[in-house]
Amino acid sequence: MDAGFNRPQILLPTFTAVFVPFALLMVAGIAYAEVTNFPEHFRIAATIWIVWPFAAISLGLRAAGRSGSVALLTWTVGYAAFLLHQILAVTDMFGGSFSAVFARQGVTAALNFALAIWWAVDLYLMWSETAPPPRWVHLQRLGLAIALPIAMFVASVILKDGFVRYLAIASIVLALLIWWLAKPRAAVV
Amino acid sequence: MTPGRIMMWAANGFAGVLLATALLLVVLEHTWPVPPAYDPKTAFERGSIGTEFVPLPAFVALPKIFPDLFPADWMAAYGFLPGGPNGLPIGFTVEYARPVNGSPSPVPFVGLTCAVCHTNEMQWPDGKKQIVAGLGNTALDVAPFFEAFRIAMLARDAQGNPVLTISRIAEASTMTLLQRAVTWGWLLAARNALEQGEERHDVPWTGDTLRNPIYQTTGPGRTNPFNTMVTNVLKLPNTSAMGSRPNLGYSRIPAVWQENRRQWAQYDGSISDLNARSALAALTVGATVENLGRPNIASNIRAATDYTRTLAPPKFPVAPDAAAAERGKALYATACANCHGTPDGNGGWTRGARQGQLIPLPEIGTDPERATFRHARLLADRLYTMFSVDYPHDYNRIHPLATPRESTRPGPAGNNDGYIAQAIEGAALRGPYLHNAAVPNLSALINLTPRPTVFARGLDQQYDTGVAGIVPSATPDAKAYWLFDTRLPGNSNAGHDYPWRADDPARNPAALADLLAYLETF
Repeated sequence: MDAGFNRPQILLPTFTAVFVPFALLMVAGIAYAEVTNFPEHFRIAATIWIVWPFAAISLGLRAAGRSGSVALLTWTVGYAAFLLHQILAVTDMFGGSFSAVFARQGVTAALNFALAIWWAVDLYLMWSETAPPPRWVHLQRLGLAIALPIAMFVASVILKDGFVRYLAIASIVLALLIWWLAKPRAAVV
Repeated sequence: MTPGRIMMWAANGFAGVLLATALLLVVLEHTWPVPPAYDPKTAFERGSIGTEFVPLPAFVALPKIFPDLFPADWMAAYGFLPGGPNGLPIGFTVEYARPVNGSPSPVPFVGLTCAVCHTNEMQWPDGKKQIVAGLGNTALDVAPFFEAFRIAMLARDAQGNPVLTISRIAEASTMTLLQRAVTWGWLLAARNALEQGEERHDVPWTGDTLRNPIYQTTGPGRTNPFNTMVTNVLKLPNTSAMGSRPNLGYSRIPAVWQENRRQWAQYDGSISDLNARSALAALTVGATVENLGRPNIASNIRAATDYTRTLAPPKFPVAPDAAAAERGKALYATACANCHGTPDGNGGWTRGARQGQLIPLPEIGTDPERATFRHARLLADRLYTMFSVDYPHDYNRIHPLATPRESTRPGPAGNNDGYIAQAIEGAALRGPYLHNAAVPNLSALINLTPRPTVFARGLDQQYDTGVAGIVPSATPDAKAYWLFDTRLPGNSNAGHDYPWRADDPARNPAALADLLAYLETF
């Protein structure tokens, strides 16, 4: 896992390649939710659906040592969807009450909020990097890259069923595929 | 700048604007009002119970666009009572809640409340009129009303284009751009849903059939609740095992007085939880399991139910002959009290030994359709399952109106092969009688006077204190337009021959007249 970035330059084609699909998927998710019998619930669901592929792309690339602009941008928009997911969950599912969140979810809620904060810190560090980061930054980045997929795997594959389970599995396969395709290969003599 | 870069900037701009708009919509939606949770009386009269079905601008446009279906006096024509919100009838609600999901809306939607069915206008002999809360609306012809709405929604012009369009609606109301957008979206979705529903409901009737009992078999003052439940909630076609005969479980819209005295609600005693009873009533007029779970809508269901727990009927409009009533009390005690209980004279009720029990069909002898319709054995399980699903609106994941399986029959609490014996507060005001409204007055119910084979039903029918109900006429007219034929399936006026059958040699008309006088004191 390449945990260091030295913030890459964001070029328009790269930005477009990440942002346009992200924006369209978000719009589609919100629009889809509006026509269901549970708009609030499906808005929350749709946002976590969007986290999966973008996080998978970023993690796959970084695992292969390709910590470029695509990895940074997909990591960023994945977080945007994750943050919206958390905000909507608190406001729409629990009436804006953190005590209700903890009453229902207990330790899980604490882990979710901790992940959201950790991910934000990680993004801040990524975007503000101008020099090779110190070791602790590498370590926290590696920790998040392990903790987040585990948490999402438990939430989406073990605790849930239906579409999100299949999406999560597909995203994991996608991450592995990207890692395999993007990893440096020894020169063939 | 190269064309490629221009395209990329355009794509980003377009996607950004779309995303910003979608996010803005989400933010705005959190600022739109939600239906309030009301106190019991207000909840009963105009609180949202999840039945919103049409945007207010579209609804007010209907009489202008479809004067044949919604004439100038449409309220009276369908038996609604004037006096509700926004110039609409009693029992209508106007709330910013979308149909089906109950989500906040920028445009107000029209729905129905408990009061639309359970408020009646009594036309007393002295010409006075009295609005009576809790009494079933005897004039309400709700099935043709909704059929007229379906006709309007699906109407197309000669070119095949829909008649009800956003531009026609906007001609009748001032609407913001957002309101137009939401109404347009509703129009598409609702029309599509109605078109899909033709598989179960068939294509709509035409406007000239709406008052004809050959086509509209339910008639004023009644509903066919399980027809709606089967087709709209269970999504099944309304046919019998033979494949062509619909459910005929007609129900007179009941009075909802002193509901705390009812251990089992519904004519067939199928529900013990009054909140669930109210929720099912809301389901039959368009509410969904989803929107019934919204906190304020669930609260209104509970509050409106609470209102009926102690709601009492009005006094009989004329004082009955006290001596006759006293004599009638003795006959009541021997012939009626066992099943119906007895008023204690202080507003309380002395329970009868069989009160609250199901009287088997062979014993009661009344029309069996309401208790034996094809899906009667299916509904309890299906409805229990519907309300028991993992419910995302509540963080405990339990639907606020979910009830134990023991609250509905048939099931662990027994079967419901019969009709429930209930307290009869306001007995003389509850007509037409029997669960299917097949007997027009109390005098005929106790076989003091003959039960008519056919009689006209409809609007503005004056209450006659002599027979404690309407005086039957076999000739329909402009107001009493619907001919009730008791020979048709589901309409039988047979059974409940107490104290005596009409042809019983022991039958004592004088004693029956005394009984009638006593019943008028309830």
